[in-house]
Amino acid sequence: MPAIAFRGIRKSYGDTPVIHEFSTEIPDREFLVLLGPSGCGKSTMLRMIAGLIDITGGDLLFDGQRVNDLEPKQRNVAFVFQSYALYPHKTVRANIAFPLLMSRFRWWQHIPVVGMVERWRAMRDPAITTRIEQIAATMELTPYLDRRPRTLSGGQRQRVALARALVREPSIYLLDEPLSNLDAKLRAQMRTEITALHRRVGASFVYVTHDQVEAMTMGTRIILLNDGVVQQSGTPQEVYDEPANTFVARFIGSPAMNLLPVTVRDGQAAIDGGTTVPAGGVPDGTALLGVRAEKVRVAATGSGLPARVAVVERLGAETVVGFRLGLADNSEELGAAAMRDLHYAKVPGDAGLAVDDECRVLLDLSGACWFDSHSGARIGARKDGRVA
Amino acid sequence: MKRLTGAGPGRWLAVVVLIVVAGFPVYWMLNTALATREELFSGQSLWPRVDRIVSVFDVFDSDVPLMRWLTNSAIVASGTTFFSLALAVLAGYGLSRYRRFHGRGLVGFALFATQMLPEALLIVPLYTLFVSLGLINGLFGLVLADTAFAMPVAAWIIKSAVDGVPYEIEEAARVDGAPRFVIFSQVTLPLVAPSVAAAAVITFFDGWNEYLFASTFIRDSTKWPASKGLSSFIGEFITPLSTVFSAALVFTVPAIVFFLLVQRRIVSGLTSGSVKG
Repeated sequence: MPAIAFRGIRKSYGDTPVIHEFSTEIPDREFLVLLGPSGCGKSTMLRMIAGLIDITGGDLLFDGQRVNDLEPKQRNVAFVFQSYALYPHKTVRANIAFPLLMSRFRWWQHIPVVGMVERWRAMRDPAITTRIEQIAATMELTPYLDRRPRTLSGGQRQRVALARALVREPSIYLLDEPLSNLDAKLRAQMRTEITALHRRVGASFVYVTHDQVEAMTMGTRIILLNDGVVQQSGTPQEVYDEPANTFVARFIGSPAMNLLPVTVRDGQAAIDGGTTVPAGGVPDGTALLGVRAEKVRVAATGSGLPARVAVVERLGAETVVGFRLGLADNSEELGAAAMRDLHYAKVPGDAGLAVDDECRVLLDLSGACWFDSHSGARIGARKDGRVA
Repeated sequence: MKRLTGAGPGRWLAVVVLIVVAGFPVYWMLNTALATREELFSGQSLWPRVDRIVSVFDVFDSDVPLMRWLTNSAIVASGTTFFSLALAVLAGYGLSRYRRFHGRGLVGFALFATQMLPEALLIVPLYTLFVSLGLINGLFGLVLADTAFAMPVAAWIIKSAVDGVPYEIEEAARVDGAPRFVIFSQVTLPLVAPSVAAAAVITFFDGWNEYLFASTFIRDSTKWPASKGLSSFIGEFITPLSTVFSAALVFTVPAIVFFLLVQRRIVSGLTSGSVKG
């Protein structure tokens, strides 16, 4: 199974850059997740890996071998599409068999009747039938082998797409938002199945998604993109704990990381013009203090920063409380304006707070991050600290 | 938006009017073909004498080579359908999928432009061309001329159908290792089969109804297609109406059979082809 190396890879259409130059190396058997919002270039990157679109510049290497100019077939990759891209006129059996038939294809099979007879013979070859039945059993598709894709449910179609990818044992599996068309329950189930599949086949997976939950739960490595620029590459924990910039900090985690504007002077950061916390290594001036929601505690009374509750989301085992620092009344604004200056706390059980309540906020600064307020880049290393 | 699925009285009336307008010539042809010469002049029955249907085939015993003309029509129609579809599936696929070749827009427009010119306008230059190519007085010349006019329509129908096939299905086939022609023949073509069938109907009828070129290019009456042959029944002083209509009835049967053969494919394809991969 090959390691994947990106060396100065970039993609543009005419003068419009789609993927800006970047380099990174992915060890073999990794579950790499390409993560980012819609239109950030992650599917383009996946298609470049597959060989479905040309690479404008740089080198793509599989196990040290440059593959830029190889056809998808020569790269030995399998691709699972967002829309499944099953062949609607073929049965499930024929869909799964298609890659195997193509691996045996010879030029003389272009002759219409000869090709048809050869396909008919191949479909009865024990090597192919056994392989199809094995894969169908693995993916629980045996009862559906003679049905056409349009008669299957979304989850079953997704499994057919995976079976078609699995059948010829490729060295890299490329998956383009394969769960986005499924409902929440089925998505959770398929997430588990794909993760188990990765462990079982022991091949490299490259998985595109805009869902950070999928990225965190499935990936062993994440590349996060925005506007064609790679923002960060690392393990899910690294990306979560040490976001490279404010975009990553806000994109990863639900709710997003709280970014509190602070003014730093002589190693002390003043939050909301009042409470100060230690800010060692942070240069004087304005900055952003990043604190995860689970490191924020809110209570109706007690010590801490005064705030007013704006949102309460009860999830059963925990509650997400959205608040604004200060005791000003909540505005009546809607949409993006309603989210402005909103910070979140995630507390176990019921917080005992309601919208418009006054509350007190405590920040646990262990694991907090500091960001440059202009560039958004993270400042220095992670700081351990005490509760403010 | 409300779907137009209801069967209100207005819709029924429109359907009945359409059926009457389209069906009356067929009814009149059948009724006249089954009437005797005397009945034609003394007033024929409103109901066709279906019991006389066998007498329609007496037209084959007349002194005109009707069977030969029907065979010629079949050759012209089949040839036009074959050549038109063979070129149109490739042209339609190319125009839809190969978007980066220079002059793509021009080719598309040029195909379309052929439909803007009436056949009569081109008959003189075509005649000159066919004389120099030795295609005058031959069925192959008719096939070529009809193909030139039928193929662009078929190409546009098939191009639109290929546009509707998700490109991801072809990409999936590429990843699966399928050569380009296999992707075309085994993946895309079956998905646009309903449109190919529709194009086949149009091109077949173009060839079957061929008249203008046959009148101009074919001198030998044994090489006439049936449409031209039927017109030769019309005499200066007398026209044997019953025979003309019997021959016309026989002439329509192969076309109806062809349509019935492919129409099931068209209708079934409308649903199966629209299913997203």
